[in-house]
Amino acid sequence: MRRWILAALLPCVYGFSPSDPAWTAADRLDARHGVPFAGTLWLMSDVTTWDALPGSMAVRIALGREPKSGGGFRIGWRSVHWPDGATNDLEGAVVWRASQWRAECALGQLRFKGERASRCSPRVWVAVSPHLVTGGSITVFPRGAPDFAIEAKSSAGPWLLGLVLHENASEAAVGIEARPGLTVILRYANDAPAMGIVLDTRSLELRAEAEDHPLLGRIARVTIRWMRGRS
Amino acid sequence: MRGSLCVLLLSVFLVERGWCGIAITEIVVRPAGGEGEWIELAAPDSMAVSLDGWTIRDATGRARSLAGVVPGQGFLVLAARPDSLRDRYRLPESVAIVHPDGWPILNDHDAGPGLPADVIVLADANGAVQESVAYFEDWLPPEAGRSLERVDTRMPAVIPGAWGWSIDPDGATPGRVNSLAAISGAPEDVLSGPAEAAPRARPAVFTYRLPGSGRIDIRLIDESGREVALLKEQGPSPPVGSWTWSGGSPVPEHPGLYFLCLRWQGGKERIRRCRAVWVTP
Repeated sequence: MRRWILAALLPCVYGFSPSDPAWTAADRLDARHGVPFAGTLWLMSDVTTWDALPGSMAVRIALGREPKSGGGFRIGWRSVHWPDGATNDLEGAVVWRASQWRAECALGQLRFKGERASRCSPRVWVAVSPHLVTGGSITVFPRGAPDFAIEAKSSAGPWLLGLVLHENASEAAVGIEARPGLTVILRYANDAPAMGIVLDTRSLELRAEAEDHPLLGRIARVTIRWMRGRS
Repeated sequence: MRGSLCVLLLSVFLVERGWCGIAITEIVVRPAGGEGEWIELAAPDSMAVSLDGWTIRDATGRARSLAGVVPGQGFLVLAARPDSLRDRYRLPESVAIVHPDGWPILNDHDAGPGLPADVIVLADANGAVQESVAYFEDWLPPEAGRSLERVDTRMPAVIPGAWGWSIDPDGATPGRVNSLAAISGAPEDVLSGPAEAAPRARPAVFTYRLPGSGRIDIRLIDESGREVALLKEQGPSPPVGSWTWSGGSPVPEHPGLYFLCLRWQGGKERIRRCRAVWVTP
């Protein structure tokens, strides 16, 4: 018992690090909503298609600076095109990071013709241990009820585990680092199983994901991310 | 099955004998009020066709004599109660309405497993079959007064995909162009409708065209794939139909991009089709 208590107190003695395995798990399991590697300047782009929406495609480009400690930022543009319309989404966020926690506040606006929908999303992550981070976010809209999410990401050896709870949905993900630079991820969300493969060459990351959604059909997404300053 | 086979043979026979240019374009089997059953005939070509000597018969085989002239690129309506029909749809005198003897004649329940509810056979003065349709119970709109419309007269009337439920606000279009004509050129398995919807402000009509009759449900999905609302519970549907999203149906709480998804099941065949829609609550 004493051994376990000492192990639990070790991070408090030796301190937390922004490159603890749990933060890596948060990034690996979800590049879009996770926590980028600390100390990097990154640029990413992804393309998404849906089987049940012929002729539709979403493209996203984002740039950010993730600090090891102190302030950072993230900006992104996302466009969804379909045969008779297109939306454009702009989002910017300020990030503040310390060794044991990370906070960000994002402001976004989605536009379609003359229509606009704005949102504000504060989000906080806390490292409970080097192998477990938990977080929560709220997305507020000028009209309508807000969206809540509670998240947890964990790493144990080569295994990565993630859980996200929304008000009326949940998502579970498990990943394994099959070999250095190659991670396989299985995800179950919205009654839809998904699989992803991540190839990581330190400064460049390539991610391919496929989801079998009961209504949207096969959802395919390819992501590429370039990073500078990764230690 | 036996009924479908008969109709198929009939259509092959019809093609062999040549077509005089009269099409059955709209049917009401379940009238809403006192207007009674009616059938709309059209002459898609510019040449008028006289119906003198022509007959119409149903599955019982009893022939009823017809009269009148179908104007070129115009319509003629066969009705059980012409005056009531004219009053209900405010039809001008220019729309010809003929009352064949012995109406009503149409059944709205299948005659048995695999057998159509009824058959409408139009024969010319020589007795040659010019047009026929065998409809099944699940082709018919459950709502009284809504018509079964021919989507495209270039498609044989025996094909389920050639017929759909009227999307006209009046429920039917006697004596004028069918409401489904707008999607006559659309390919099969398609969901069409407006790119933006504000259901509480004004109803949005979505139309679909499927390979056959079956059961459909319609759901609203957000961009992350989460189901926001069940808009239409699973129910029977014709091959061509429409669904109106109005304020009475669920509406998302905040504006944004959503996917309106239709799921169709006809026997073992399944189709999923979605459509991106900007929704303003």
